[in-house]
Amino acid sequence: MIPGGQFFQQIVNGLTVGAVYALIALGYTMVYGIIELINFAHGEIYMIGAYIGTIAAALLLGAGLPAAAAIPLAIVAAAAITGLYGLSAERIAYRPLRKAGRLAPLISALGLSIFLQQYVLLAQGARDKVFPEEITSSGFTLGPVRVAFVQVLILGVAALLMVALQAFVRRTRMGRAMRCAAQDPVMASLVGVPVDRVIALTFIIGSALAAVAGVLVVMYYGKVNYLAGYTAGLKAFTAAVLGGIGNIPGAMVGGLFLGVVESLAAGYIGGEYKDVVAFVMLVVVLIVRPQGLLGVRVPDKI
Amino acid sequence: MAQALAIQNLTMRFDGLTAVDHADLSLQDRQIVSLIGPNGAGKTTLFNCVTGHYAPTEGTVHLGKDELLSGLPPHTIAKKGVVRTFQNIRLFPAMSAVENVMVGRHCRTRAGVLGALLGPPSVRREERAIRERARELLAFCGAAEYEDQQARNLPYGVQRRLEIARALAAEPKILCLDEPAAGMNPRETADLIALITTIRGLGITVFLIEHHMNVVMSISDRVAVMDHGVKIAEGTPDQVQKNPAVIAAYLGEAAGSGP
Repeated sequence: MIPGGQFFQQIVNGLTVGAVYALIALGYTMVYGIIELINFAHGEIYMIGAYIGTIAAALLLGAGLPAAAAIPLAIVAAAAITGLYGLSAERIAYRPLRKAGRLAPLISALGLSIFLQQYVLLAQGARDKVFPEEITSSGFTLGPVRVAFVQVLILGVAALLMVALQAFVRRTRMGRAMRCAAQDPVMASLVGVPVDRVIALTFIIGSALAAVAGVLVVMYYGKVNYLAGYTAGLKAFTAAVLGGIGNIPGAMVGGLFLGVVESLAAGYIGGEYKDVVAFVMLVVVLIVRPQGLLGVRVPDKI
Repeated sequence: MAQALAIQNLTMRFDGLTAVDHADLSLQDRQIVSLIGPNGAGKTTLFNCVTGHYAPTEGTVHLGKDELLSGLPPHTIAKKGVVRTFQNIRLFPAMSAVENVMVGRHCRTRAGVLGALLGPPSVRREERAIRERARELLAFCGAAEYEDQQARNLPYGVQRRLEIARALAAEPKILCLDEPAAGMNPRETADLIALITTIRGLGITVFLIEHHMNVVMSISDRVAVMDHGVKIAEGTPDQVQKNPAVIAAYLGEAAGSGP
């Protein structure tokens, strides 16, 4: 392969992975934007979404549906059910600690993360769960670059969801409620916005986006296991910080940027260095530009 | 005249400190009632109890004849019709002026997430109506030309009026204004007096905390005076101004200071 070809190939692969990071990062950043919690269980939510999508796809395909119908339905089912997981997580692990300072919910998040991992281990076993439909092989070539259909699907779905989320947040009544609750929750409730419901909604949306990312990744790599949330969660968190935590467009840009840089590192330095590059970048951003690429430096809230 | 708001035996304690001590006060429909008193007298704490920011230690707040407010969360109280502004302005700084007012419409509108996703015409109509109403209210409060500017960039006097517009968007029965004239120059203050009077003309009861005595004495139907958490006097502006206890506690030092 000519070097230029490899470069573009890595860009395409990087954008694919980056789109997934971005979808997961949105959940971190939206939750942080409203309640200033790093939801460390979010990676597990993504992993659960991947499992639910895989199981749903197996059931639907088993029932005789064609893949073109079964896969979109499996994605929707994963988003909906994982949204409920997110809602329950908020009610059980975070809402009771709303007034307990910042450390207690953080510890609760770590606990929930371990709980969800073990729950999936007990319910589904330690072996990889394999996606029932083989789709990774087909694709097309664009000059020197090979693009799999599933990559197009990932990029398309991610782009669609990001545009939809942005429109939702900017142009609708509930989106406005989310933005004002993020800026001043006390004031929001005093002018009539039910802040607890807005927070619950944020968890549902973030979890649903992570679930879609989960199903897309299982389709891309073909399998998932109960530990998959750990690395993906850390990477997406890195993406959120890169873009500026609390900033929705930032999470999108941060995710794509991280994916591309990682992929180039894998291509030019070696696959074993991609995590090193990703986390070195996190450290550098935290030192040089702690508010992130798109973030605005804000004074601490009282 | 019917009763708009009844505060009975209201007490708020923080650890050892009693910020509001067995206060009673009732507001009649379409009145402008002012609450005055030296700094730290407990006026804002009383507002916080009325609007649900604090749950009072003792006592009750009723809306109208018999609708219990105390103990309800703030957004429910707002929906029932009691909305406030803040002494230190609290707008949503990263939103435009019109969006700030649109937030105030939240509790009077319905569209949820599904509606937003599916986008039926009713949802779009509602969103348009929210924006239209917000524009009207901006114009009503004299801030129409600032519609698309971010709240944090607005001049101080406009920020104050924008807070009032946002509160009005929630269609309050009772509008609680916490020192709306603070930091205003005489012209802005005169505009504010006119605005408050117009708001009362719309049928809204105004509950006012204010230090500017000319504002209080010129527009209030009744004035209540607090000192150290206790209501020490209540009456018409004239009665209060002549009350020896008030003069001793408050007007003695403030009577000379103008706007």
